[in-house]
Amino acid sequence: MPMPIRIANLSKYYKKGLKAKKRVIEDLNLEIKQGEVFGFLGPNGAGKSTVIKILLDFIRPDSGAVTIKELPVNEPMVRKFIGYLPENPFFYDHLTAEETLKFGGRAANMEKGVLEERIDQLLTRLNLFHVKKQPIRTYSKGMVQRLGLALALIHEPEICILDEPMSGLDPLGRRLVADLILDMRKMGKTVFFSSHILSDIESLCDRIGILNEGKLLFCGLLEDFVEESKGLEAAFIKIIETDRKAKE
Amino acid sequence: MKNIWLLAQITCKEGLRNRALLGILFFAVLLCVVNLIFTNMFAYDLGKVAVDVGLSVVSISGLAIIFFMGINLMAKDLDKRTIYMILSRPISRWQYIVGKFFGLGFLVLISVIILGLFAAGSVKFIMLTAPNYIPPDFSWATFLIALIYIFLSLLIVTSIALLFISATSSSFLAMIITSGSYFIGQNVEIVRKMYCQAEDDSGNEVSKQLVEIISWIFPNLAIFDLKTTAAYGLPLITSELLWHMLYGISYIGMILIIAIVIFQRRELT
Repeated sequence: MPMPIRIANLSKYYKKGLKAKKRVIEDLNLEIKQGEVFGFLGPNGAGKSTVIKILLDFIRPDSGAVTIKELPVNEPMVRKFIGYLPENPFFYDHLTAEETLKFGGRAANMEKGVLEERIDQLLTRLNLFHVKKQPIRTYSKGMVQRLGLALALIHEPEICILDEPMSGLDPLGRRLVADLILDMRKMGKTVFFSSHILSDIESLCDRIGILNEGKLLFCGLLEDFVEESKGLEAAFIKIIETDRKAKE
Repeated sequence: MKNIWLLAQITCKEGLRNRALLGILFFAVLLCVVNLIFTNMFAYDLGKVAVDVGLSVVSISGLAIIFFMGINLMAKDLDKRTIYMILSRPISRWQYIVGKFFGLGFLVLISVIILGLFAAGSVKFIMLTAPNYIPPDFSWATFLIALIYIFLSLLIVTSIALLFISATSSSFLAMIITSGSYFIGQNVEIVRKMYCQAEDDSGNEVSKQLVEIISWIFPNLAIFDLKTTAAYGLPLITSELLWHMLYGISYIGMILIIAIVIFQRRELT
């Protein structure tokens, strides 16, 4: 079975001024296995979103190889396997949720009948069915976030890449998203998500990766990481501080 | 093709619901009023003035739609990252550019149709109220061809706008450069002819070369302006019309290819 996500020796630099370059990702190696929920953790500016954007081919790596199901990410057809939720999803304000999801489904080659059924099912699940014919500009932030999730899942992707899926959600919305992620795991789908909310990572993930200043500090089972410390938060702070001290 | 059609559809829908249709209709009503008032200020050639003013308003409002809405629609995609919603689907970047072009093209087409109908209505009204001033060789077919060529020139401007928005990150800059290109495109042929016909070529060979180069880079938009031909009912040369159409379509094609090449390399951070 092809590896859902494989990142090998990935490095990325951003231009800083005319000539200077800032390293954002340093020689990152990561493999996400079929059916696992992988939590991608790191402080602000660690490079989590950069990695996700490289996976979606929004930005290009300076070196290394990134594949989805063993296919290079710059191949557009790869994205039919992926459901993506950006950190702050934005949509066309004057379109409705139904029209937006129809676009997403049709672009992923879904059949009309199946798509319409799936739209109603997803919108009901995410408490958006009552506003499906309303323009998105009338939605609250939480509703937009949930619509983003609906768009990510509309074509029943094998791999879900979620960038801060809980941001902007109230506790009920977070519960809803967490349940969806657990459902995906039950269905054997692969979920790769970044989050700042450690309790969500703790309750949802099989494995985690900790990134700091573009460098992967830990990758493995959640139990292995928290074993010696008093919970995920303490272990997370400890590993980041140790890394910072080592660099000083 | 399906992805391009889907993109064109959502671009056009978003544009139409963005009060653009309201703006177009407002322009259309304003056009009728302005045309009637303005034309009645003239003591003669009322029919010619009505045709000229009518076609000019179609052209100007088409430009307004490109500058104030088309450029903003695409800039918003990049600024607010709505482009992530599109490119996270199995859609390639070239399909995005072409889809956007067709979407904006449909918007321009709708505005040209609505305004063209209103322009024709106001011309017809002037002709009914002042039958003595109908140009002897006036033809509605020529009027329609003039509208088609206005549409073609607007599509060229749309492609230029797409090119600059693909290359820059600022919608304001893209708008300035596109309007500059439009201005040059409208006048480059006149300037080139002036240089070519100048008897005294003692001086500026460099300027001549420069004008020649500019005339190759920027589109010659003046050739799509058939207002005078329509207003005076002048004869049209079919082969010339076809060559101009071919030129326009080829120019759009080339500009879109350059826009795609630039956009393929762009990092969507």
